[in-house]
Amino acid sequence: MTDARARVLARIRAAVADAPEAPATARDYRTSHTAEDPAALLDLLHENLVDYRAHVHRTAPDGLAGLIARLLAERGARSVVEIGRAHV
Amino acid sequence: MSGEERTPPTRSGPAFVGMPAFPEAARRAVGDTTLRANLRHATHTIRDKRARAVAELDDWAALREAGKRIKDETLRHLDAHLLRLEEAVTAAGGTVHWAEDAAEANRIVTDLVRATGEREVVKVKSMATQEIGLNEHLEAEGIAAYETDLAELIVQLGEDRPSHILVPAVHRNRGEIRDIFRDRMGSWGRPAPEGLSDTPAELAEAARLHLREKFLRAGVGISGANFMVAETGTLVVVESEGNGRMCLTLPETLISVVGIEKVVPTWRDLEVFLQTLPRSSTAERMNPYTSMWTGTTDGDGPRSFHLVLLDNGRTTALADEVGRQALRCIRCSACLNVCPVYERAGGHAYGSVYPGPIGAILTPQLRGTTSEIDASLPHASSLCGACYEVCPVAIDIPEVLVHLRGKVAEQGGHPLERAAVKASAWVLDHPGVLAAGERLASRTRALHPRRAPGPGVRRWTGSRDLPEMPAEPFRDWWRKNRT
Repeated sequence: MTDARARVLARIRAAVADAPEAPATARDYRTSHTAEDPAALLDLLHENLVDYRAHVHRTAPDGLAGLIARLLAERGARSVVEIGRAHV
Repeated sequence: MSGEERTPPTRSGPAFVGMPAFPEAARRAVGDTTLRANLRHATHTIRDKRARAVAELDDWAALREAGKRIKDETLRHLDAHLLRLEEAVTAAGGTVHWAEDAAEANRIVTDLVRATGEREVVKVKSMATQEIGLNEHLEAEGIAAYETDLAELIVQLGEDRPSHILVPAVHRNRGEIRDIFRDRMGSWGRPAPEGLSDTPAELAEAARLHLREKFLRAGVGISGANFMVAETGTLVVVESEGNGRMCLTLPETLISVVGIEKVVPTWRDLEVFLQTLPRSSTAERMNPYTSMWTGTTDGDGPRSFHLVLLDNGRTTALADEVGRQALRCIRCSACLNVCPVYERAGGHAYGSVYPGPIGAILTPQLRGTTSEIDASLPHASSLCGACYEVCPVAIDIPEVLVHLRGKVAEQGGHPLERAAVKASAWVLDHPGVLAAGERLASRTRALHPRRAPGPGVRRWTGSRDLPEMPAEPFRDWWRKNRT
């Protein structure tokens, strides 16, 4: 135990020795601000991503490859870096 | 208290030593029209955005009350929470150090950096390390400290001082920032690109290129923390740029300097502050980067982690039953953005790394009120109360200001005020003198100036007319007409 540690702890104890007990924390705030409806949640996510200037596209699993191919073609990309493979 | 109790250690803030008192510094600042335009634009924009972000949550009042109570409960049992934190950090592979004052914290950090053999460090934006003047200390010890937050970089390159808790370069406009980058980047590392313009995108890209080189080379990172979770030993840094995360993850050694009041008992407590802090601070629903780390992890992030717990006057503030609420502060800076005094005087006038309303109550408590600047800070307010309204942990700043004004007055107050009160007490104790004075004043009233003359007084009365003197004293009129 260092001297500094002992002295800081002693000063804390002296500082609050006469303080009244703090009232218990009230947690009467909401645990959620959104509806449980998955479709509504998806819309909200979409809206907030766009608000942060992201380009959002929606697709079903069987349309994913086509969508990515189209986005790459639009940018004239000839090669891509795959993220995360090194750790797999 | 125990027998080993010493006088509290001296506290220092090297970067601001020798600052003029607030009224003088503020008078200079309000004459600077560029500064006023920069501040007005910045504070009004963020003020309106914050109000919208807060209005989105219909339980804001409940979140604010919860945040206040979590902090109060933590401060009441601060010793126990710090010991729990120390145990958890140590168990997770970190090392905990305790620093009573700025000098001790600086010495600990310097020794830790020396032990790594490195001569330079990268820094995450941190109020605690600003408070202790760590960069200046490291420089004197031959260690270069590079700020990586964009605004801190602007301040560092410009050899300037921070003027806002969240945006330390808020007093600079785009043209000024371009000039600083163009003229100064070369002497700190990678120079700014040729023909740099003042568009935000080009300025950000120049900073990115300049900083990338520092991140990749750095062996030591130094940070503060927004929160420390006692039950798990987890530290939390929230930021917008991602530069902080680079410093927290790339270097081999990470050193965090954190005020003892930043501890929260449980992980769950973060659910309150991670809602209230970003909305109050940048008016965002959530900050873009939230980094959390618990000790060290093999093969991921820094290999050694040191936490320096800083007192530096906090236990003195904790002992003040009115003033201790200032320790609830989560450094959001909402109070700066709404303050009419801050908007006009700017951050530098407060002579401390903590400007604005929170600085006016925190600085005098951390540093004491012996210097002229610190004794003048509790008066740097019109007591309008806007700061209390927006505070996400409900710090009653006007209450603490009035309390601290009382303490300053007890230690002697202002010499002119003291002389005036003493003189009027004598006059009021001597009715004959009072009556003679009143009659003399009435008879000479045509000669009275419309405004109070004299140095010191004129600053306050320059825009105010003196009340008109009646033709005769009230007591004489009463005697003639009513007795």
